[in-house]
Amino acid sequence: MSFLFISFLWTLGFLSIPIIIAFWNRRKFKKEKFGGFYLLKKITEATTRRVQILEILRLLNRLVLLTSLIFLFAEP
Amino acid sequence: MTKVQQARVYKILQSIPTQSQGAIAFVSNRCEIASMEGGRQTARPAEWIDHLKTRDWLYSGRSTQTQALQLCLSHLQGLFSGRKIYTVFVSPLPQSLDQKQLEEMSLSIEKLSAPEIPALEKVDLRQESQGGTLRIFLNSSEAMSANVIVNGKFEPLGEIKETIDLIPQDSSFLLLEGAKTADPWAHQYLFPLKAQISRQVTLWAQKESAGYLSLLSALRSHSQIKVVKQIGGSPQGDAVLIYGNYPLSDEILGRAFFFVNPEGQAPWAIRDKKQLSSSSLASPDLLKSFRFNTPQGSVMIKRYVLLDPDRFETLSTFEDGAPSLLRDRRVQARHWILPFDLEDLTTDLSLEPSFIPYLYTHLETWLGAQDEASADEELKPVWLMAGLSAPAQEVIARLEWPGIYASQNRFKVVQADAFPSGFLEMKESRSTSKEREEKHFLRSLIEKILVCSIFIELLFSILLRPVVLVLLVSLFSSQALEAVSTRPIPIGYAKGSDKDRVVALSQILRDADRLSNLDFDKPQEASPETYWKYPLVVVSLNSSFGPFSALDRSRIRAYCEQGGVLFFDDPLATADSSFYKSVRDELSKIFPGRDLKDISKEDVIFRTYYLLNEVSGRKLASPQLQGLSFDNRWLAIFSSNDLLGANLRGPQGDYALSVAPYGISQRVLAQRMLMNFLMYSVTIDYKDDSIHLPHILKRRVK
Repeated sequence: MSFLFISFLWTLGFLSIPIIIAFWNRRKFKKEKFGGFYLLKKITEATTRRVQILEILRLLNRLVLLTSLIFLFAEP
Repeated sequence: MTKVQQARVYKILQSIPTQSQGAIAFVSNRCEIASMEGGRQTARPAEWIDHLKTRDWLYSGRSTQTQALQLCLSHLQGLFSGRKIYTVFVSPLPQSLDQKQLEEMSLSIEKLSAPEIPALEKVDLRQESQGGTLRIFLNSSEAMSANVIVNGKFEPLGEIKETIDLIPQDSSFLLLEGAKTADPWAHQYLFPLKAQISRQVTLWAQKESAGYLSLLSALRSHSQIKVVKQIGGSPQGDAVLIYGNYPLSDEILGRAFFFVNPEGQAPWAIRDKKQLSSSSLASPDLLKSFRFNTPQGSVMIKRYVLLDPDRFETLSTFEDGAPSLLRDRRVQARHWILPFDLEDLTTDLSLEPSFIPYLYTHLETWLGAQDEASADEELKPVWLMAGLSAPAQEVIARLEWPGIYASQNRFKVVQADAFPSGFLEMKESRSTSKEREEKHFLRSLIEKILVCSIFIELLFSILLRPVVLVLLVSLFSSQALEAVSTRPIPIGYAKGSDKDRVVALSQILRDADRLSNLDFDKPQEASPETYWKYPLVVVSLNSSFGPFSALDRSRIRAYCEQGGVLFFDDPLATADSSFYKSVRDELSKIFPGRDLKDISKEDVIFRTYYLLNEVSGRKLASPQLQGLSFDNRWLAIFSSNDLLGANLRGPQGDYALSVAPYGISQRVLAQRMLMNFLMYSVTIDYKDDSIHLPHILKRRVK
């Protein structure tokens, strides 16, 4: 695949932004053992995994979005 | 370039969209980018057509070479800043082009209809001087018309079949023309006549010798060389052969060919001499030093001299690498030196028939060699072959148009290049159109991906909202929720708790299963590290509570503050017991500044499940429950009355311990109190909600 404005591809570096944001958001959660909410934790445990998968999918989608935008500007 | 081909180029240019910009390159053995007035190299097709109609096309007749095509391609790429460009080459491409290289350039070749030109046959020509005439022998299958070109003037001689006799003149050339074809350059052959190299030479020697005479006789038998004999004195003539000793300076000489006497005088210092000895004959390796090879065979030289390699350039060598013919670097290559003479002692030349052709070849080369000074002279066209279009000045300046170019002292014949058997056109290759399709496909694909991913992003931003998540979870994960809701609630007991009380705890948990909707698991032993797993931890020790490490205290504190409840039940059922004291002391350390206090009978803990008015237990050691509260919630509850003991049952189901003073009603109350604690640990103060108030009041009235 060749591009008309191959020099524009340097903007692919911007792909790191959603990745950094995703990791930054992950770091916000501090693991806390929580006696009274143990049951609640058990309830949400199953769903949390699903939410995490959704978050990963969302990150991947954002990367695809940004890449295709850059590719369109670079005019293949 | 034929008119047909030029028209074809215009047609191609007309088929290109009018607003598109493009460049035109002329490709032969070089790449030339056409430029408009002002040096502009890109223009619209119509501008190019106007421009090309008013100027000579840079056609040189040189075969197109793939290197030039590649050069043009890269130049055009650079001109359009690396964009993918549409490239059309219209070129007479010889079949000799490397097809593999063309394929690598992603070009496909299509033949353009053009007049068919038969493949050229090679014409051999031999010239011999016979007396004052030059006889030419032609080796060709067909008769050709001969023409002589003298000083640019064209003289037709008529048809020639095999031989023709000519009177040689200076600067005369023979042009042979075959059958006429569509291409005027086909079947035209230019030959310089041998008169060009026929020269007079002076054979000079200080004195006559046998070697001198044999050289004279050898030279006289040469058809193109006129020899003038000169003994002694100053050498005369433009070209002089110096034989043997030469006591004069070489600087005054013009063109000279030295035959050096190995034992005599020479104008240059001789560094070394080599002489064949009897020992040399025995050793094949040593023999190599005295033998050199010619196309006709090897020549043995018995004696020769070695000259300074810094001053002389070696033209040929003996088998061991020693120079056998040299050229003086200083005097613009006009002096050639043979490092031996032709005396009997030096060579057995008379026995070496291979030496005479060797000598002739080198003498002809020496006579034909251009002076470096004259090589710098600019050659100008004397006669040019007629083409279908007029030659461009740039092409003539590069001496590429077929014809004769000459200066005062030298000439150059440019033959028409080998012609292609047909004219070929490189059209837009299929791979290029395929690439364009791929490009369109890629773009539309990327656009679709972009739209999809924007849609998905919007979907995610809606889906990942907490409310929607809960809804989704309830919709799609109903099984998981059900599984969680039926998961038994684990209740912990502190390590070291009284075994009977642990049994009693498991019994009350079974009762709670039966009496309520809650499902409790079997009690599990817990340490401060694992308290967080349980909503309620029961502590019923015969010994003291603690002391704990600072880490464990912080764990217990965190556990209680974050929703956990500790229930202390004194198994001894005595007021102010050591267990009570230890609990109080430890709690004051875990929660500094707080102390156990009586729990009011109006507290929610007395109505979490059952509506109760009094405390109970195995014994009524204390009329009050005590507790430690934080944020309107009891973190720790202390019962001095052995509530668990009142509920302890044996294997047969009968109560194990007696209850005093009120007997069975006290036991029931104790059981209900424990139920309230269990419910409190999981529901906290839900019974304080106003919705429950009328019902509770109604019950109280009863």
